[in-house]
Amino acid sequence: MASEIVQKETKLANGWLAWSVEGRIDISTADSVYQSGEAIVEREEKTVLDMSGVVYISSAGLRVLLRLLKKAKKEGKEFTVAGAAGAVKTVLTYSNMDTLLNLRESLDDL
Amino acid sequence: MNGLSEWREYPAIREMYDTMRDDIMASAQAAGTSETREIQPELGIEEMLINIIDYAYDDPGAVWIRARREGALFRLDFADYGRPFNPLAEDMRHSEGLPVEEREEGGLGIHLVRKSFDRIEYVYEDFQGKSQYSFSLAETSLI
Repeated sequence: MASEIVQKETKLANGWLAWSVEGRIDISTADSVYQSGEAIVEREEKTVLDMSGVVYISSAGLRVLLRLLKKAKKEGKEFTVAGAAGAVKTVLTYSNMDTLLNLRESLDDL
Repeated sequence: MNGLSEWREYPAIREMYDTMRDDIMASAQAAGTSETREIQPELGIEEMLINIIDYAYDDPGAVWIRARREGALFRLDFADYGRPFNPLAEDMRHSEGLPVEEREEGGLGIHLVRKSFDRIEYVYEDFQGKSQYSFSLAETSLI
């Protein structure tokens, strides 16, 4: 079963750009997710990836998050994640990416 | 879906990844892996298969997979005739504690492989690499 993702952008009142991804972030979708994220980080000062619709993330997905965080830091910008739950949150915690990315419970916690 | 109780050969190409993953996960479910633990083998499967697909061969090659229950364990075997890749010998590039800028993205995968399985073995002989990954089917999980 091939993976499919849905992505959406929302400008929040506090200045953050909320980028929501729904589906699986794995080897099949990682390149597409990175390309979208790269373009967003390039043009926005503060980006939050809303992961409440993500049902699975693999190491390929974790690499995407790390690359985007590195890119944001290099450009003096902010990149964080919010809304991860269940197995996705477990994998972020397992890999210590929750701390690295300053994982928020929800978009309300920005 | 193909049964994997005996060795099965697949072309080592990206287009076959979803088929291989689905076959392995079906075997894991049939062996008694609970839904809450399915993520555990899946994390390791992707890392190991993509390593073989992307790095083992210069020319088209194959990967052989076997997956079955052994007592209280689910055992997964991979074999290939490509470049050796020992998941036990790779450097821990994940390097917890390092600042973001110094972290290597490649190390995340092998870090998850090591965490995902209870036992990992690797043998390379006669130009064939064989790796074996097992995890307990008991509900107490590392993840």
